[in-house]
Amino acid sequence: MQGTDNKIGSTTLYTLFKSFENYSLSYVYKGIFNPTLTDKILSLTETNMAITGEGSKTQKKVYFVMVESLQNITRHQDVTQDEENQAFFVVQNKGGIYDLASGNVIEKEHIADLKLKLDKINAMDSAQLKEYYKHVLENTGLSVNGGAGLGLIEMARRSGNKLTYDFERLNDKLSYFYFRSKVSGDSGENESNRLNDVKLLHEFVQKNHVNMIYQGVFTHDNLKSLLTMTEGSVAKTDNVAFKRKAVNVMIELLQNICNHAANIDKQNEGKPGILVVSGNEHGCSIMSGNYITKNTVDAFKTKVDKVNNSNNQELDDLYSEIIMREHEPGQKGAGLGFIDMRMKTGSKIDYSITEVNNEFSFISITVFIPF
Amino acid sequence: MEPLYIQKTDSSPLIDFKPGAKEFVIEGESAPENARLVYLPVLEWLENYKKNATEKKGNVTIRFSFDYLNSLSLKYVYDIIKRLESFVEAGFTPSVIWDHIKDDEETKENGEEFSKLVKLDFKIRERA
Repeated sequence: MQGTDNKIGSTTLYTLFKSFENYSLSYVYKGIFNPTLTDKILSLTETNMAITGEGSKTQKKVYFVMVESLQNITRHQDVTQDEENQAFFVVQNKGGIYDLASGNVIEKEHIADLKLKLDKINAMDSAQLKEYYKHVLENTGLSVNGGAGLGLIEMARRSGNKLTYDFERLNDKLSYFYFRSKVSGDSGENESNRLNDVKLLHEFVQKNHVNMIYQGVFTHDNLKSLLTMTEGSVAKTDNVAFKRKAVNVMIELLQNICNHAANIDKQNEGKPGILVVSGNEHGCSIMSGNYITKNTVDAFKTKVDKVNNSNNQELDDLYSEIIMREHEPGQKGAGLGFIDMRMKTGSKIDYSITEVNNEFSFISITVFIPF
Repeated sequence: MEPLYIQKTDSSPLIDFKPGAKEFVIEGESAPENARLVYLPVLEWLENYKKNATEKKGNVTIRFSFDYLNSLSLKYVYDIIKRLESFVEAGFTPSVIWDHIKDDEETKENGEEFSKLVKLDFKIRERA
């Protein structure tokens, strides 16, 4: 690959995809959180819950716990400017069990209080939690960060589950605080495993400079939420031209999945796929992965290879040729996406195909957008 | 006294407090990033109203009608209800109406819990 210094290989993408495959939603974000992003994460999760036909009670609980987690992050994220240790958030729908995890830097002097409070909450049954809630409401003022101290209690009450947490020391002054809550049911996993998953995922995200991972069903309906979230994840620069390119590439890749992905599991509707945004000092990589039917692989290769091996003049000609061709009824996409991405980024379209079974292959596409 | 009117947003409720009105209203979603900005004006306005109301001292009703409340909003709503309770000493007859959406058990329960923490006429009603 031409100087993309892309750390995530296609094998890694497929492994990641497989590890999330049984979940109807996995969303991971590392970076700066703001109210707009919070709204989009909430709306993406709501869309997912609507698609999976989740009951309104569970939806409300999930919504509540997510709002509290995300607002906790925004309230406390200023502690570090260090990119590697930026805040981190995960939401996964594991067949009606909603697994929410977050991570953020915390100052050493706040650990003891937080730990005490979490342990206290975890030791209580629902009646005790109710009393504790009333006690805090009546007797506690607001903290310097503007928190009322009710969030954790309410999260425990509404989720009906214990709050899992851990602290990892970063240096003399700071630690990283991992927090996990689960809404609805009990999957029977043991507590330490539950946090190990989160730590491994966090490690992966840090190591590969990942800003965002989305895995789930791609529909034209959730495309807009996805786009806004990914937009946020590449907005580290004020370079307008770069941002525009990044948004363009994302739209093309997202629509690609919506239009061409195959559904390997006939039980479920929708097109499963994965989208990963990562970045380094040279630019940003956008990676998509999805199943395609084997009989379309050759046509795909021919098309992308032709685009990759064309110079600018040839790309221009190819573009004109296709744009003048009549768009046939039932034909999805115009066939201009790859040409457009190649022209806009100046990078080759990097793709890789993994055989899955007799009928399907997994395809990963990476587009690098230089700053 | 000037009325207090704040339009609702996606994450904060409508606030409609008019001196002399039958009821003061807080209505909508309440999950603002900064609940203090939303509710501090209400607390201050109520304090002023208690001290300076030129209208006849009588019934003061606040109607809460929430679609959603985050934990920090709960704290401020509690403070508002407590503030309203203090109207008794100033010669008013304060009361609360707590409307919740049908089947919204959480918001209903929030109201029930508040009602037990204050000595106020506190009506909990289901709304469409």
